[in-house]
Amino acid sequence: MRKQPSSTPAAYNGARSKASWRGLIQYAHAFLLERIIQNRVIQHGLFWMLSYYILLRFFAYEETLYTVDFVYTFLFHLSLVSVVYFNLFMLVPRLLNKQRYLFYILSLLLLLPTGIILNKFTFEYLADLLFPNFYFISYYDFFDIAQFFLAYLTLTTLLKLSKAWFKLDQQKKLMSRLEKEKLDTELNALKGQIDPHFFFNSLNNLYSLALEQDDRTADGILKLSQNMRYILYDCQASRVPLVKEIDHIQNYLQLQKLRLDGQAQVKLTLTGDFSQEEVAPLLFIPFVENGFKHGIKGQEKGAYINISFELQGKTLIFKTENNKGENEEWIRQQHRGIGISNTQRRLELTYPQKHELQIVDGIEHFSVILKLDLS
Amino acid sequence: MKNKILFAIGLVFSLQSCIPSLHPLYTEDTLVFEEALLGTWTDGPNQIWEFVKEGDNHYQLTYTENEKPVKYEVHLVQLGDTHFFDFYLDEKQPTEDYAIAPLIPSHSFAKVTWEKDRMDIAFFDYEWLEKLFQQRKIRLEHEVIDDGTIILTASTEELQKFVQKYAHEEAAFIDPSRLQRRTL
Repeated sequence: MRKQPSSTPAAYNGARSKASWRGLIQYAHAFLLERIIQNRVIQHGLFWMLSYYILLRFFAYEETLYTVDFVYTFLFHLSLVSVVYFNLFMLVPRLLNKQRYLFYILSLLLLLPTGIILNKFTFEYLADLLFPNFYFISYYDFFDIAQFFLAYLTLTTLLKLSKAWFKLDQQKKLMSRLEKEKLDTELNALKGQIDPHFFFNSLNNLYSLALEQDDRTADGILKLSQNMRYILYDCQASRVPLVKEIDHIQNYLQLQKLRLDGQAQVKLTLTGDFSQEEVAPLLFIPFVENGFKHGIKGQEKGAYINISFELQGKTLIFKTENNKGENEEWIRQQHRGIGISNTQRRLELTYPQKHELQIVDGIEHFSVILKLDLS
Repeated sequence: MKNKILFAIGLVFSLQSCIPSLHPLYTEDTLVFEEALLGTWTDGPNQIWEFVKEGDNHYQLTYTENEKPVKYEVHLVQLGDTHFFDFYLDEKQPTEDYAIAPLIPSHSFAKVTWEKDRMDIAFFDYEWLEKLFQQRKIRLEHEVIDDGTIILTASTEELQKFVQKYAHEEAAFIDPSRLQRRTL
């Protein structure tokens, strides 16, 4: 009977099952390894095992290791471990971590001779009690033992500090990520508040044209559709080409002109080459909207709004100036629109230390000067 | 070899075995000199120990057994509350009877106590130490020569610590030689 090729469904399923098992095992290994590495007891255990092995080799007189070498290394570790953990659990958290450096150093200077006495005591008395069949002396003098202890104290303190620094760094990164997420959420919320604001205004304008059965309604809807596309798709990015932002404002002005029917002066001045620059989306439209809503709308005859974009090097200077309306609506709405407040907050988030906003609320005129550092 | 070394450093002490060491037991700060030990002592009809002062702080011992004298340089060492002799075979002496002696100059140690006309000298038990080394129950630097002879190579500081710590370990010493002052 001919053997089935491995490309049969059964073979394929088998291979897939095998692959998923392999993946599961790899995941389990990685999980266990991570748990083991992060386990404090295991970390300390591994450290002391390594220390035991190194000192065992260091103390042994011969290449071959004997029981006496194991016992001696164990006894030597008794005072070593005591000194190290006294430092790690008492001196570091109570003195070093609280930046009481002088007390910490003084305590270490007391700990060292205490440890050395403990080491001497171990080999003079404790060794005979614990291992009466073995014969040991304290082979190292005061200075030698001090060197051992100092090396271990330095090493373990640095390990503890580096672990603390690593944790702190991780916490900082986490905090930074959380802060960024918070800012993103806030920015999205602010942008979300801008969009309906603009559309309601535009739809109101078109509604007025439609009521009057104006032929320009269709063109107005087209402009609005272009602006909707811009807002819905392009403005999802954190930065948009400046020329698109200006196009968006031009469309908006066209929409407004349709409604005003030449009764107010609307002027847009562009100075500089904007083609290479990018800005945060929808930063300028709230100021323009504000000029129409509280200026031209309140006093259409003789009303005006002058808007300008000027690029000086990497500094973009945006200006609007409009008359102030005199009708009841304007008097009632002395406060600035929510769009400007949102934009101010967005400027703080997107151009921290890189923007300058000047709002002049005069008796007859209202002007805004916004300088953005685009570098 | 073992027998020869023992011969050189121990035979003269009534064939008592002792532990050879490359390094001395004494340091300047542990040396003492006791006038009371000077003079002639005996521990048998044909064994005579004669201590005379040499230099500032040690002795020259002339041990005579069956009219064959051997000279030793002896230092009295105080470690804690215990005194020890450090015996060193004098290299200047004639070697026809102890031909091996100059080949391996070594020290050997003994615990010493005295009062008036009596002196007890107890050597470390070579067999006790040999057994500990064989069973790997002791950490003390040493070398084992081809024939199995053990020679201590530990530093003076380690020797002092070891000797002082086990000064009262009965098993570590052979029965002492009991010397009486010989009066003429």
